[in-house]
Amino acid sequence: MKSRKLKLLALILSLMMIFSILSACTTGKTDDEADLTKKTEATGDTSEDALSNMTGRGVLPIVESPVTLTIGHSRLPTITDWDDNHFTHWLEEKTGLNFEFELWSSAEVVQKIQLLIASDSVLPDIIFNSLNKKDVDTYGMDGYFLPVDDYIEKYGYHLEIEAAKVGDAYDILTGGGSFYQWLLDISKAPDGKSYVYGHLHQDPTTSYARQWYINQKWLDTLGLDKPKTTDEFYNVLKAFKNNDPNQNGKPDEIPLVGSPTGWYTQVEIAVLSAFTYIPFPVRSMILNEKDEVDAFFIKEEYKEGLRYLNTLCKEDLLSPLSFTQDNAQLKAMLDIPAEQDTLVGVFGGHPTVVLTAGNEKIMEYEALPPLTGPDGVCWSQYVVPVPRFDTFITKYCKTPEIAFRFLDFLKSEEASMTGRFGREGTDWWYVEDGNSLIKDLGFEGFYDIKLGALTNTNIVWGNQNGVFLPSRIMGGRVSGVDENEAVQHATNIHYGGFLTRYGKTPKIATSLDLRLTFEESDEIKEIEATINSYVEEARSRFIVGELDLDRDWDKYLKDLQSMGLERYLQIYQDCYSRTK
Amino acid sequence: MDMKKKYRAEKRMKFLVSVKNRWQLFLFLLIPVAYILIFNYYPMFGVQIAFKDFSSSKGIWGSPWVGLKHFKVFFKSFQFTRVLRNTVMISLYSLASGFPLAIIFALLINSVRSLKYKKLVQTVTYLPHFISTVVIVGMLIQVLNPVNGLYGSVYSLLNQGNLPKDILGKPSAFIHLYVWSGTWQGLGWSTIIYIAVLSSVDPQLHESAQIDGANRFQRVIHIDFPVLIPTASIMLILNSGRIMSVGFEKVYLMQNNLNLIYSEVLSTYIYKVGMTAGERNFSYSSAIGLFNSIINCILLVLVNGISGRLKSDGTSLW
Repeated sequence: MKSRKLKLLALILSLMMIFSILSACTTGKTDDEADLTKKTEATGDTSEDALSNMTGRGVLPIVESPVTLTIGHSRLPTITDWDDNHFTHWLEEKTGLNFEFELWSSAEVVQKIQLLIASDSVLPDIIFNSLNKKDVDTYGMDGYFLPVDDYIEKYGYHLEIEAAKVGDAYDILTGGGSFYQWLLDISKAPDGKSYVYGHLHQDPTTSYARQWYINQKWLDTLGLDKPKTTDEFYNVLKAFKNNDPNQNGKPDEIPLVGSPTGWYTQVEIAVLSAFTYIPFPVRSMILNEKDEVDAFFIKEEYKEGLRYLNTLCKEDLLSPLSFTQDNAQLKAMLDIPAEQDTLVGVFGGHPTVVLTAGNEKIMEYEALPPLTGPDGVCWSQYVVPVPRFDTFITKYCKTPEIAFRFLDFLKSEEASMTGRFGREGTDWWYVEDGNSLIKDLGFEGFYDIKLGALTNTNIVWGNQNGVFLPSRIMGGRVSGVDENEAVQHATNIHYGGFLTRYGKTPKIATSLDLRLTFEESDEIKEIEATINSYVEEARSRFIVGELDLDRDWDKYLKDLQSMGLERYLQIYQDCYSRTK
Repeated sequence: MDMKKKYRAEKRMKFLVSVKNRWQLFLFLLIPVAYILIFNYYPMFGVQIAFKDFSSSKGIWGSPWVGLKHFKVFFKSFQFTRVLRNTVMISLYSLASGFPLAIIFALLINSVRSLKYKKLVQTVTYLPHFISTVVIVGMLIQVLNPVNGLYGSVYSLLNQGNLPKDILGKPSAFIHLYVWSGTWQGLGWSTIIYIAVLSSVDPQLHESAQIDGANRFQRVIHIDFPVLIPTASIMLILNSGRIMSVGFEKVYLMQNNLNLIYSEVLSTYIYKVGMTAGERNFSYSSAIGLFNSIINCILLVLVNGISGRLKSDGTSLW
């Protein structure tokens, strides 16, 4: 009896072993097979039949008899039913297409796609919002995603029209050239083909989001003017510190404060911009007189800016908390009940992020325009927008032309507005002769939205799926008047401040133009990560006086050299010469 | 030679017989073994990316081998000495503060006569252990905020409204804050094992010591403390195996640009280069992680060996 059981056990164990070995073999085999199929499978164009079903360029509906496209997307909490979704119905009606959805958990959508590709499973026709550009390009060059260049030439329509309407809002990126062409250029993978059809979603104010606000009430109490230069700024802060502007008899004023981790709350950057230009994100580079890529953090002007900040810090004008506290603590300082004494003179950050919308304390503050430094420098950091390159057509799509026509239609104004705001007439509507909040930049206000419309579920597909929302549209909402005075004031100073910063940027090489090859990016990643974190760390330490500008500056430069600064600049210079 | 072979065969036979007789127990053993194989051994295949240039499109097996490239980059990197120094400093300091304190505290609790009071102290000191790290760091930052924290309020009350200096921005304060808040949190919990050992001390020993005229302090030193030594040395061995792995969350949450010089440790550095840098560098991260594990392993073996050799009946893990 016992021996039989033992045999059974042995049998089970040996079977398990055999299976594990077998499965190991099969995985090895599928890899080879995958390679084979990849080579033999031509990236199929749509059959003649399907092509004749398609209407002409820019015409709606896109197809005469219904065609089904499968769409891969991450699950979103706001969408309960993708099939019975307003945007789905609207698109189906407009284009004549049918959509089927394959939904993945949003936390693991990237791994999911990578697994599907690795196991050679069939992917949906179009995938939205997932991989980053480098991954898309890599898979594209491996043949998993289709290049769209030919389709752009043959069928592209809406993006070109919409791109022509953006005016000069993106001249700083395009160097004054065609925005459409620029967008197509930066979509290209290292092999010169585009596997994505780039799109953009940008609120105009985020391009100059490095904002700060000054306590106008304190200025009035002390009889001072808004500071225009760094010298005046110093005097104002000094007065804030010493002359008890909140009139409570206690030396509890904090003249200047920010936070290192909040949303554009880093006040030191705003001050430094009066000395030298600080690019953002850090991958963007400044250019020197010879039109060569340069690093701002080794310049004498930068050092002088740090010296100025160090003075502010030494005299307790700039709170050292600006380098340690998080956004919640900055908010705790500012977002206080009206009856408490105001503590802060100048703060960095968005007025409704560091204060709760509607808090009356905001009424004391006004926007502070960028300061002019001792050498007449007066820049404001331009935040390079990030076009989204995350929508692509996979090689399993039987009708790539139709899929492309669909992606192109998403870029049209009507599809973009419907995709972003919801139902026309209910959630948003066109307005004639409206004033937009950025009318000074030449953009008309042409629509208004119902407040809270975006919290409605099942109306859109998330808020930025392949649609094209440049500053013309995002800033084109007509300015209304909010019933709450404090909310209205916050909006006013936010846009007012934005207009004082707008355009104060030198010619730079943006992170979008500096497109590294894969080899370059492999080489640079360790150097870049080390340098960037070191520069940021040293900046804080120089300002609070942990490092001495006279004693430690040379060591700082030497450290940067030993981290490979020269090679770092060389790589970016090569890159810049190539794309210029 | 023949004898040896025979002996071995006999031994194997004995083993097989015992397996046959107690096969149910061995069947139970399969479950933990499978668990360890699947969750601890199988993932070790991934360690190979430390020697490869990993790219997600090629997968773990398909990525090209690059030998020790990532290790070399790390050893030459600017951060190497700093990260290593901080990691070792923080660990040793934590060990030096937490380890003896736990023993002293256990001896103290054990000498308390009132049972109710003893239980109360134990419960109160265990409690912080159950607070999550994020909350602990949040509390620390809140309390020490010089403007709206407890520290700031009390200071400005006593100093005519003047605000104090920011402790969290002081780089040299980081390690003390880290270690002592950790000790506060973990002290009660780490005494549990010692108190359990102390409860096994034969009361007759105490009685006879009392008859011989030993006072309470002498009894603690000469009876309770020697009982703890074997357990304490095992704990020390286990702890030294963790010297290089300073907990990630707490350091990361307490970091800021000012204290980075003392607060960047291996695990946070791995996270930064591996996950958050513009170009994610998994291979480099794995290489550093592997390096870390190897050092830990060496330390464990070393301390274990020393401990085993110090006394003839010295304690050792194996």
